[in-house]
Amino acid sequence: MTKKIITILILVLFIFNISAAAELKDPWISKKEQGQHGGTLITTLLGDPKTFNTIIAKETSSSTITDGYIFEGLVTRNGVTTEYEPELAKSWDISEDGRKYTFYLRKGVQWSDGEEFTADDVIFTFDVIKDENIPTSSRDVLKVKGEFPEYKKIDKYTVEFTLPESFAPFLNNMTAPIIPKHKLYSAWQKGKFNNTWGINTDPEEIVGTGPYKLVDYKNGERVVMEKNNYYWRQDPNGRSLPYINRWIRVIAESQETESLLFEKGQTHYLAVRGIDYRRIKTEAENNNFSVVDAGPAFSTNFLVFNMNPRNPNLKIEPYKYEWFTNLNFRRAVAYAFDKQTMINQALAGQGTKQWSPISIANKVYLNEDVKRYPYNLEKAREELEKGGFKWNENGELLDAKNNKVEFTMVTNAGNNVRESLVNIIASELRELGMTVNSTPIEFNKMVNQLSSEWNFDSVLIGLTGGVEPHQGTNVWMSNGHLHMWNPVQEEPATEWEKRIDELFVKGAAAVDQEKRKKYYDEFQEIVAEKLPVIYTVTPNSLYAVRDSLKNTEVTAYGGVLWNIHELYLED
Amino acid sequence: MRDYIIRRILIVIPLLFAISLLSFFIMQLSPGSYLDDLRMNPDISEELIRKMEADFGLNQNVFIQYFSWLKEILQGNLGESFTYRIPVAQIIGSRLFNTLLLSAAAMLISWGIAIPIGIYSSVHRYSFLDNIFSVFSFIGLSIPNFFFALLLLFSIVRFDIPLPINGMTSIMYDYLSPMEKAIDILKHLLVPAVVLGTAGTASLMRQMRGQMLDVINKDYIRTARAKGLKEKKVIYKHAVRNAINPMITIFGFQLSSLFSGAALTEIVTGWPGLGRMMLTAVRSKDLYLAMAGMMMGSLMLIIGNLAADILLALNDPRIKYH
Repeated sequence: MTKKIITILILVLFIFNISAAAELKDPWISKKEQGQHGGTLITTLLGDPKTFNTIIAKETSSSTITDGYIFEGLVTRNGVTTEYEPELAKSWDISEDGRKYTFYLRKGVQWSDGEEFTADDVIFTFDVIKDENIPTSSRDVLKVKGEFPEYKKIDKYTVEFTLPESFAPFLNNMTAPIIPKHKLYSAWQKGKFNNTWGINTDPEEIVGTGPYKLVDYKNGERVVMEKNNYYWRQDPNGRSLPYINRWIRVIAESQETESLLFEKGQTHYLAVRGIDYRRIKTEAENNNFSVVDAGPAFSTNFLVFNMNPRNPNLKIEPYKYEWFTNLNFRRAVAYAFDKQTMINQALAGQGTKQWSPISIANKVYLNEDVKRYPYNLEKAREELEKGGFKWNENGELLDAKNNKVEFTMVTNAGNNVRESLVNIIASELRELGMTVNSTPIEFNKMVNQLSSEWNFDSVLIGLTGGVEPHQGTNVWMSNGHLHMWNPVQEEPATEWEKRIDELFVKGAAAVDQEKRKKYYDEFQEIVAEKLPVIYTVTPNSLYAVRDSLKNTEVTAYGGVLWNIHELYLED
Repeated sequence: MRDYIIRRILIVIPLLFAISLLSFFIMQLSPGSYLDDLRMNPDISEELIRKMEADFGLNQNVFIQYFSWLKEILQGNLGESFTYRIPVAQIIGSRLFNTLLLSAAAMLISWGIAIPIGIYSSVHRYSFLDNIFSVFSFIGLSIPNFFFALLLLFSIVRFDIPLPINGMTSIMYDYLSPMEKAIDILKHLLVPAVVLGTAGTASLMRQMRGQMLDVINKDYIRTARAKGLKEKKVIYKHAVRNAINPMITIFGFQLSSLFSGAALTEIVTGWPGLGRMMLTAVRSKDLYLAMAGMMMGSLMLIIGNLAADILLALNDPRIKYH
């Protein structure tokens, strides 16, 4: 009898609790086919998370666990079109002058512990980001002309941001994850925010608005997530998403193990490496999975020559500065890039040639119509002659003052793709009579040479791009610290660098996408023309996906899981 | 004996001090710092990096850094990891048991196989089996661990052997009974422990065989035999006791590896041990985490050596310490 009373009491409490909780007024409804609820998704991770505190997380190993799955931003980008889409904000207005952004939040969204999500959480998140004691990269990208935007709560469901001037990349920064005030406010007040939500935190404490919540983390083994029952996206029948109840992410530590796990049938998808492509592809025929080529990835690999007059080595070898700043020299090198061989040998045939500084995968801003340098050693020799170089009787290349052209080319040890790219490039340049000493060096050493010592000759390195070109300011603007060929300049050293600076300022200020694209098109033309960096090849994103995983739309931008809320498992 | 042990323990203090000094400066003098990775991130400004440098105290003089670390460690505080931003002790603690389990299992396998086979081989020198064992030990000596591990994993997948290929527990682990849990861990332990175990076996086996061969031709063995002692007694009581001394020293050295982990094998088999984490810590220059790992390894080496010396005295009455 008492049992019954207790059950009824609990039931009543439960019902009361639900009626007290916010009612979801602005759900998002899936347009994909209705799927089955339930099941467990198993995927792999390549490394342990370092923290669950997404604001201070700097490694992808941490953010791939939290961002988009546990935490969400006000806006997001569509995984297929990469266009902006509403997420926690159901809509937004931008004022005529491009300075005022008003976000209207979805009403009745709940955190995974049942608390309601409101404008206070948004304000709190930006309070934390603005706090100079919090080491987060989100703060700098939000600053416009060195000023953090003003933001204020209009009402419970409206927030307004005012920028010092029109700044289009602002919307891109609004994809930053929003964190719960009710969980983190006191830690922040006590100055303990940076140590909060580390990997030793009780999973119950970590609360987000995303489709999943953390239930278990076993150091070095796996991360277990479960469906967030309060999630605001709904299936066509009006039931709350995601379809998949449990999500286990096995930490595999090496790509070999990742593929073995997939081939053993234990995981639902695999990011296929170029060298595994053929093997996996043949296996796909007899097994229940298919291999998807999602096109070129966002990563880039390029060669950069040191054009920095502050290079300390120039005291001994002043002529190197002359070579590297000689446009004909760089063009000759570009013509000597045998990109087809690079694709075949370094990427096992699964890659694309890159010519422009914008990632090939960037559908919005890529300018395909830039100057190209197809592999041609004859043309390379012509360029060298035009640049005043000549050859001695042994076929060695000499400059106008009879100095033998000899330089080093380094890349970071341990990156197989880059190591083989360096070898391919060096062997072609030797054909031209240059003496190239190519060596892989420790990553830290390479970074030191690039960022503070400035004493390298040439470096092969890569950066991962995004959709928003403005994210490249530190690389392309002449005062940027990643402007590798000649970093942190006070005044742009050349006319074209000055022009790129202008284009980046204009590109950020224009709000209209068409207008912005024009500026960034010109920027891409300049870089392809002046070759401060010489691009190589980009690997393709290849995925093997089990047929039982439905509703997938695999892309280079979003991978397999960008629409995890819509994915379901068929028995 | 007691005085000797006390003396040895007292020597440990300056020794550890010297080790810490050396490792700290080697870590600091090699190029680069923890922040280098961040420097290559286009989203992170120079300002933020300088701020973090100040936060971590990396902008200070190396000596000041060293002494503030020393001060903390004398109070039992290992410091905070740059990468994880939680105390180093907690990070190490979460993986210590796993590493211990793997190393202990590997040691058990290698010693369990090596000693009997070594004895057998020496007694039946140049017999058919001795030759077979020799061949195997040479293979074992020459095959790299990570490759052997990959080979095993690959055959598990190829021949559909019902063994796990990654991690320490299966995903259903939390729902298992205690007995099933133990079996589950043992199953996962098999591949990494066999890989590490057999790697040690080969050299130990050859050592044991060589030592036994040395001893077996000695006069006192002939005397024992002449006395009419049973062959079994001659071998185990007289020969092995004498031959085992150098093995005890090796054992002492191996004790230090109990906590240091085996990075490559751990990476390939996905074992959540300390080895890989320490490797990453050293490479990414997560200073205090790496220092803690190195200090732990050194301490174990010293303790292992001490233990070996004590065991030697217990085994061999001829050895006395003053």
